[in-house]
Amino acid sequence: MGARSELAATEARVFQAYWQDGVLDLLAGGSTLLIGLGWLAGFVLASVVVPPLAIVSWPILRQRITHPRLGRVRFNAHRRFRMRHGMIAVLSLGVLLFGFFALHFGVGHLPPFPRWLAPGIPALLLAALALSAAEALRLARFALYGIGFIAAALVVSGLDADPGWALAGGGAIAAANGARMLVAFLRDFPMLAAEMDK
Amino acid sequence: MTIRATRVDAQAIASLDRTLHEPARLGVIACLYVVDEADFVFLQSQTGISGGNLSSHLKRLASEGCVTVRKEFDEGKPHTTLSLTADGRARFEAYLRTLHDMLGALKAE
Repeated sequence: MGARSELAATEARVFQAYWQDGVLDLLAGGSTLLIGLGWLAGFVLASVVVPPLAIVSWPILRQRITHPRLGRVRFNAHRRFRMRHGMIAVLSLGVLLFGFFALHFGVGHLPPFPRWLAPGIPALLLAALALSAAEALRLARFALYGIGFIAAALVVSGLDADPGWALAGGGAIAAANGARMLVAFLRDFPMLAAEMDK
Repeated sequence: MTIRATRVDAQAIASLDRTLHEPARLGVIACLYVVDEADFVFLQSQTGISGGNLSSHLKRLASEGCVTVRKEFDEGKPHTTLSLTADGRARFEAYLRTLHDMLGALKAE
């Protein structure tokens, strides 16, 4: 392996390390779990209330939990470009899918989908988001979450169950993995006192 | 042949940048090379070097003009951010080239 590819591998390792705290997984999974439980309890408004709370909580948790243990880094321009465009693509896809979903449910018919798949559509939308996030952040575990949501969507569609079960199930998987990662992160990365800051 | 190859290798080894060749400093430089900037805690968490040692290695690198140390206050607390200077990047690239050539010559033998 040449020096260039070794350095590229080092950069990739540093970037992976930045996401090993599990906070994103815990928040995204926990939010989806809460939304799913909200739907099951008849509180559909949870899908409007929970995501902004998670978005606001993320930087606060990163600052309180992650930064004192992992530190802060500004990635190189190429990585920042890829991250920024990847996240814009994920958010755009989310808005598009939500609009598509709302439009078709709003007018009461679903031409592009088989009708039996209707209960799984919310989980399929989240699967698309998880897969896009996996590509944008190069995190394989988000692809696994996406596959989990697809499986949950197929199960609730097959059983003609409430869509909330698929959201709660897929969200629980991501939240549980995030919690596991966070525990490992807290165990392996003690708070570091920056000698040069003194 | 063997004598000449040994002499060539000795010259290559002698030309290696001694400042960067030290393992802890090499880890720090490699980490800073692949990012734009990082704070002290990030370098500590990524290299596994203790705070005191990292501090002394960074002071050495800064004194040789390889690293820029920026101190600022973040929410009332002091915060140190480090980045590689243009000279530091050039020295690291030259170090890698020398090492690569040296290893290439050894393989050719």
